[in-house]
Amino acid sequence: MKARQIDLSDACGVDDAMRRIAIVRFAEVLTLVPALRRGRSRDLHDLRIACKRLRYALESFTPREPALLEAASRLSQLQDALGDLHDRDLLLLAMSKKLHVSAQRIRMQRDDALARARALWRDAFAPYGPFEGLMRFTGLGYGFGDGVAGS
Amino acid sequence: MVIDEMPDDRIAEWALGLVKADVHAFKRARTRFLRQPSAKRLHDLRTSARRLRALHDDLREAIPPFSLKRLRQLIDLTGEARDAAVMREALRDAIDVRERHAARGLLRTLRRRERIALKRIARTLEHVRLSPP
Repeated sequence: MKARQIDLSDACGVDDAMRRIAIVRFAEVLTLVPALRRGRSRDLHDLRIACKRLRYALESFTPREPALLEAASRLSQLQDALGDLHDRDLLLLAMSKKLHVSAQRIRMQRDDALARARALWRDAFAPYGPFEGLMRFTGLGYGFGDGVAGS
Repeated sequence: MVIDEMPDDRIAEWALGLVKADVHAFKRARTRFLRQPSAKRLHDLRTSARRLRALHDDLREAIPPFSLKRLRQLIDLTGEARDAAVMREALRDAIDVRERHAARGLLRTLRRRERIALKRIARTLEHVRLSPP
């Protein structure tokens, strides 16, 4: 999924510019997060890329806005889980039918990675949880913790 | 009335500072990788290139334009090398003893894919010219 362009033409100062960028990138993640419930490879890949974009942006902002550090760290964990899942998906595509026992093991690892990603997402929205600072900074994400990721 | 559509100077200065820092990090990762390639150095190179591209996407309106064509090419190539290496490792870890023989072909293909990508990365790196805007 292509990154949305961000309008900074009438931003008032650096803090406002940072907020605008964080809002757009967080909104991209929130739009794609139903992928965690559906479990489809392509959608999960898009979500991983969106998490990465948001994380990189937040990491650039933390010297001025340390409250975003925890969200960046959680996004990194989420990205790792989604990355493990994506690697297994690619491997399963490349494997022949002769490798069905090994493929079964890899499918189990994929399911574990998806469960890990869902748990990381749900927990991020807990009161005083990793996304608290990001939600306050952007005004987005309230009500997203429950039910979205499913199980 | 003239409407100024450029971001204010403070934003431009801040954005340029971030881009310069990321260009510097990329150049450092490139030097280290070319000096002695390794999985860790490939990861650092890939991460620094992706970080720079993401920053460019975020701040496009606030910084002078610069070309990312070669950088994008490099990101694709480092992805190919990294994917092949990670898939090989995951396959080796998960392989059932009864299927070891059947997996040899795929393991070889992945190794070959990784080698080819690594060679192309070294060639592409020679052509990436990033001067801070």
